[in-house]
Amino acid sequence: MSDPDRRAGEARPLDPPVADGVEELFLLERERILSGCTQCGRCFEVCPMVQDEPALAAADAKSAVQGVLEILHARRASPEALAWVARCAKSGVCDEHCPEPVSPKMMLRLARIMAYGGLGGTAQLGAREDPDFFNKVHAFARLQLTGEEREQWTVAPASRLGKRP
Amino acid sequence: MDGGARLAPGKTPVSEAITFWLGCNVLRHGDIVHACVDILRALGVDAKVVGGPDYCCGSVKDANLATEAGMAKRTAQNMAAAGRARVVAWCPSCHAQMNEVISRAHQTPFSIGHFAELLLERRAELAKLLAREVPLRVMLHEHHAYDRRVPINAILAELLALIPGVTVLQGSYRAPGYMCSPLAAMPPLMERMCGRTVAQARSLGADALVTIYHQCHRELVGLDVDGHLPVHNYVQLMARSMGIGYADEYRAWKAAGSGAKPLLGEARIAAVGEALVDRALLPEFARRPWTPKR
Repeated sequence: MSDPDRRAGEARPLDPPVADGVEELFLLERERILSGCTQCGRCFEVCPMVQDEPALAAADAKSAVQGVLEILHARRASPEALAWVARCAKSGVCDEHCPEPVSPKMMLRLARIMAYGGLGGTAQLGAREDPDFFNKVHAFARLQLTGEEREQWTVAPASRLGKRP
Repeated sequence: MDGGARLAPGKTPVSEAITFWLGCNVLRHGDIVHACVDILRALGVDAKVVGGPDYCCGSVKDANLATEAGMAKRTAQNMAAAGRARVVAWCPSCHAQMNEVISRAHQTPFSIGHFAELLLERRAELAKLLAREVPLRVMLHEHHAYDRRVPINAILAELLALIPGVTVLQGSYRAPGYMCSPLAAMPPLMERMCGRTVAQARSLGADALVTIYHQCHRELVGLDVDGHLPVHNYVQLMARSMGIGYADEYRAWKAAGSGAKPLLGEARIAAVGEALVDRALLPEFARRPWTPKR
């Protein structure tokens, strides 16, 4: 096992919440990142998605991070910052290399949310949402699960009063 | 998959009660879902199975934060209401979202771990169930671990080695991202990844590629049906070794592509709705992750 800090298969208790709801959590994270990030550029340099795209890899790392922080400030970002945000595939390699107590993976996720227009501000990226995402999930469940399995597994008790037909 | 029957319930004494959290998209793969449930049962785990939109983690809704927040809250409440002290997630996105977002924003009175971690924890019992030879030299389809605390690639290599006849070949290439779904939205990157994956598997002399996650399986089974490389999910290989077998219908649909309607059958098409089949399912079956350059 590569992680000496924990025993294999050990279940991890979850810590108590630090925020009241997801929006508040993301606002707290935004403040933490804006105050903790020193724009050293290490996260950009080690990102596998940057390394895979030569045009993006040629960009200045510190400028790219600065551009991402501009998004968190709800300001217009550089094309390379937006390209990086759009390409993030949550490898998490950045988190392993960041010298500060912030998560660049969370930074990029927040920047994507804000670039989509979440948390206020003007949208700078077009979201790629599949309008049939949940329709397909329901459809595949109907194709392969029995009626009893669908009822027991996919309908939460709290939903039963107003459950789907 | 090999022939075989589902395990009869109630044959193994129950040693632990958990919530088994499927997520949403693994519902494409009924064989994987059913095999997981049977494996848990054979290990003596009483699993309350939950999944689908009622238990969605919300991570797919980053473009609509109000919806994501509502889903996260509802799922935290539904998981708590399930009343089990331990939640075991199949989906890496759900697991990460629970750790990184939901549990930090809502009360979550349970522990969380991944399905592969539970199998590793019970590897001695699992090894006894893996009785049939599965003679395959396999390469694991690796991404970067979705959580630094879950060394998923090492765990899977260890689990696969429990299957009699399976040899795990170690390559050096690791695909970007934590699973294939983000790459699927970037076709040139997906093509490069598939090309490197197939080339490495061939250079190692692998008989097959083994996927960890449903999302990778859904994409890469397209390599299988096009004859580039056989692709299995690790749970399918375990089921085969245990003598429990299910048809991998998704693979058959993928092979049939836009001509999959006869496989679905009239009754199931009517149940799902033909317009949805035409609009969303058939294009998915027809999509391929890689077209080698001639």
